[in-house]
Formats: sequence, structure tokens, C-alpha cells
Amino acid sequence: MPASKGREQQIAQAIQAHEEAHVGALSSTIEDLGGKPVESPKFKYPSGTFEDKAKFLATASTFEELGVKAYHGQVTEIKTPELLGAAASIAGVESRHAAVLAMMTGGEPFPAPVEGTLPMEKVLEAATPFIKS
Amino acid sequence: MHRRVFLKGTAAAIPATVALQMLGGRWVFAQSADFKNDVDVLNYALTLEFLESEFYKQGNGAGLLDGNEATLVQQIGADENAHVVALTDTIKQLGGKPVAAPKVDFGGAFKNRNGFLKLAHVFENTGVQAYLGAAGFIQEPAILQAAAGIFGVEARHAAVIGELLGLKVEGGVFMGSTETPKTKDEVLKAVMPFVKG
Repeated sequence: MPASKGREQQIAQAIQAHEEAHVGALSSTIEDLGGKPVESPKFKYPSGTFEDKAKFLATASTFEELGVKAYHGQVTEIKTPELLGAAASIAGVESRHAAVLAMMTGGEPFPAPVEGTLPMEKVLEAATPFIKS
Repeated sequence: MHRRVFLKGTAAAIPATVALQMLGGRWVFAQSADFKNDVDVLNYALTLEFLESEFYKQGNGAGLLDGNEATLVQQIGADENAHVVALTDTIKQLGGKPVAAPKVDFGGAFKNRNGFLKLAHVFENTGVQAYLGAAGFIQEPAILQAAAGIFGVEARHAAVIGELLGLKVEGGVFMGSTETPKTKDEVLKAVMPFVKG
């Protein structure tokens, strides 16, 4: 379902703002728990990702679907209800992102009646092509 | 099995600021009296899924939507039916008794497309908030996994309906950088106008 360019921009900008908020929230929570947040990796994206709307949105869609499966793959690993609630409240937003990007790219907004899961090693494997170091 | 008991006392185990920072202070501590056990939580979810399932059955049957939009909303209805079946089966497996479907009345919601989709938007967002508000009560990890999986799909539904309606991006399609939970009381108050016994 094609959205107007202005609408697509608004959606992509909102998603960016959410992801920035998630980075900030996770970093400060890790610090509050006495941990040390990892450094941001250096990234590389497929050639032409930011020269072509379809490529940009397709890559975005890949990341959002991966993010959803990553969160859902860790549900049973989180031991405190507060952290579980916090992680779930982020995961739900990733699901919204994934669905709207699927709508914009002619993908499948509702791949299944229940979100899928991926274990950590599979998520990292899928993310590896995008990580330079 | 790890027991997840969602009582205020357990919050002392981690710095008090943690969850609040992540949620901008919006985390609502569910009342421990709301649910006795996992079957209770699942029956609460089942009541909401019955409501949604019947809502889409009637709405999709009213022939208000066309094309891709009709297909998407039919998929949503099918998801809700699948949730009803999954929750019913799980409650039975746990030795519980699934609640009966409530009698519902959606008033004038099916007079036109906008009425149908606007109420769908309310139900989907309420569903998201209900699952998030109840998650902390679930004690069995496998059930928590399933409930989380349904919760995510309700969030997908909510966003897509917001986009179909052309609602504002923030506060219509998305509801902020984190989802907001609602307590059982708040959720039941929101759906009560549509339940007739």
C-alpha cells in the first residue's frame, strides 16, 4: 500500500526517534544494574541503501523483523518483572515498526498470529553482514 | 521453574530507577489481587480475544472495506480467532476452565468504514495495554512466551489500523517509544460499554 513521500518520511523519522530512545533507555538501565553498556559497533549497509527508497525501507524492514524476533527470543531469560515489562514495552514498538514498514514495502504486516523468536546466536548471525567491526 | 511473583516487594531487588527510567515513569504496578494464577490471566486475555474476534466477524461481514484494506483486516480477524483457540487450549492444558464468550454489542460501529476501523484501533491498543499490564503476573515461562507473542501481534494490528485510518504518526500509528500498560480495572472499564452480559 503506497504511502506518500511525506508520510513515509514522518514514519521513518518517528522510528528513528524510537530507536534512539531505546538506545538511551537500555544504556542507562545497564549502568543502573552495575553493568557496562557495549560500545556501538561500526556498521556497513548494502551498496545503495541510502540512494534508493525501496532499498532503505527493505533494509529497515529486515532490521525490525529481526529486532522483534530477538526480543521475543529472550523473553524467558529475563528474571525480574520490571525488566521484563520494560523489554516488552520496547518489543511492542518494534512490532509496530515492522508492521508499518511491511505495509509500505508490500511485505507481510502479519507474518503469523504469534511473534516468532530467534536465539541470540541466530540474531547475531543475521546481523553480522551489517557489522564492520 | 522460575516463579515470577509480581508483588511490590520484589522491586527492591533492582535499583528503583531502572524500570521507571526505561518507561518514562509510566510503568503501572499491577495490583497483586488482580489475578490468582496463570489460568486467571489467560481467561482475562481470552475474554478480550473473544471480544475482538466477534468484533471482526461482524465488521468484516458488513462489507465495509475493499481491496488490500479488506485483506489486511480479514487477516487481523483470523489472528484474533487463532488467539482464542490458542488461549482456550492452553487454559484446558493447565486444567482450567475457559470462560464463555461474553455477549457483545458494538452499537453503530458498522455503519461505515471509519466507524469500524476507529473502534478496531481502540480495541487493538487496549489489547496491547492489557497484555503488557498482565505480563508480570504470569509465572510459567512457556505461557509468558506465548502471551508476549500474542501481545506483539496486537501491536502490529494497532499500528496497521492506525495507518489505514491515516492517523497521526505519533499518537495514532505509534504510541511513543515504549508501549504503555493498563491495569485490569482500566481495561475492563474500557471494554465494558460493549459487553452485554
